[in-house]
Amino acid sequence: MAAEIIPLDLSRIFEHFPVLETERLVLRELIGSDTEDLFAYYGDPSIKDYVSYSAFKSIDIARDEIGRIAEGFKAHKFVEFGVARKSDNRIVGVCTLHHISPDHHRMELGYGLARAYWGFGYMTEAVREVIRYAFEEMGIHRIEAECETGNIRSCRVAERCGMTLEVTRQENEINKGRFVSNHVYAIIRK
Amino acid sequence: MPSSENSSFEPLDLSRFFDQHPMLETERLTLRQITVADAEDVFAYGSDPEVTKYMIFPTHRTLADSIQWLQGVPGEFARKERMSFAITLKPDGKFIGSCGFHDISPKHHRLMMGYVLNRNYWGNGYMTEAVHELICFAFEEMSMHRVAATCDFDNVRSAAVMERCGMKLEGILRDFELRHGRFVTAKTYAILNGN
Repeated sequence: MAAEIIPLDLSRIFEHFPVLETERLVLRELIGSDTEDLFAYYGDPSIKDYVSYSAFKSIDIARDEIGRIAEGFKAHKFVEFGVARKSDNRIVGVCTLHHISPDHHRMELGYGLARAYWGFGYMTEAVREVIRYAFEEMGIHRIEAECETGNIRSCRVAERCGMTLEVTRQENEINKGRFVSNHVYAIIRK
Repeated sequence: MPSSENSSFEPLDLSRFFDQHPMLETERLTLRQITVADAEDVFAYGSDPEVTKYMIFPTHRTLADSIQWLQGVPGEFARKERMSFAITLKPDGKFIGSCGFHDISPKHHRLMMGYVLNRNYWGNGYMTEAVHELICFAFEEMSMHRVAATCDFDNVRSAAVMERCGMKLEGILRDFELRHGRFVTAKTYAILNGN
């Protein structure tokens, strides 16, 4: 009989901020000098086309966000990677592990890419590496990602990374004064 | 179903539902605030492996497990995280199970629902009656737009309750929870206000 599966101990993961590497990208902790790049993503008003939170109104909020991200890591709540391009060390987007549940060996994945970097496959490259990291190094069993049904690019990233559409949550969120539905994608460790 | 939904998409003000615990009533049931005084009745279902095999919480081993859960309930309510009801039979108030709301999102006008019934009372339509009332309350009183719930893939009774209440299956969450040492797959259901 197979050994009983017990909750994960992830304390090791939170000792030092992890650094992941792919062919073109480094996923790393965000630092003060990334503020402008981070604002390019979080401050883009068109972010509302796809997510229910509002664009940052000023660069100060992006600066505060870097602090909030550091706190979240320290509290073992979430890991928000800055996705840096190797060629110039610019932050092109973010990739976040959140709702991490050691009890159920599962977590959720969120990601966003500044508009200027769309269409190069950066996010697919980053998410593939994060999935590998979660499965192989964290011992996670199930990874979920949720996006608005109209966010085709985000859906494609999930699909290209081997995630399967499991659920469509009808009228699950309010964004820009209307109800929007969410797709839930997931991948299970083999 | 009449829709008293706000025309506004602003966050809902739910404060009045958390100032004083709501009490709901159906033909055969009263849904009231659950308290530590219900510990023995909670233990009656919480210690029954036939019941807990489909529940996210471990089987209660002693009354202390039930008391511990109940002691956490007022804090969850004060933080507006959860609203937990005792399901009681009219007219004598016999406690038969519990139910409630969690993941309450005023921003997105939605919440989730959970429920459990003592095995001695299965098969009488009590839970369908309670869940139907919870849905009506969420829509008509709280102005929610969406009520969702999950159950284990093989929890046929729970799925039937949701289907009888008009909830629609939205998908399957594979290996969603680790329970008693193994991964279990969940079904997820929802109903929208006005449908």
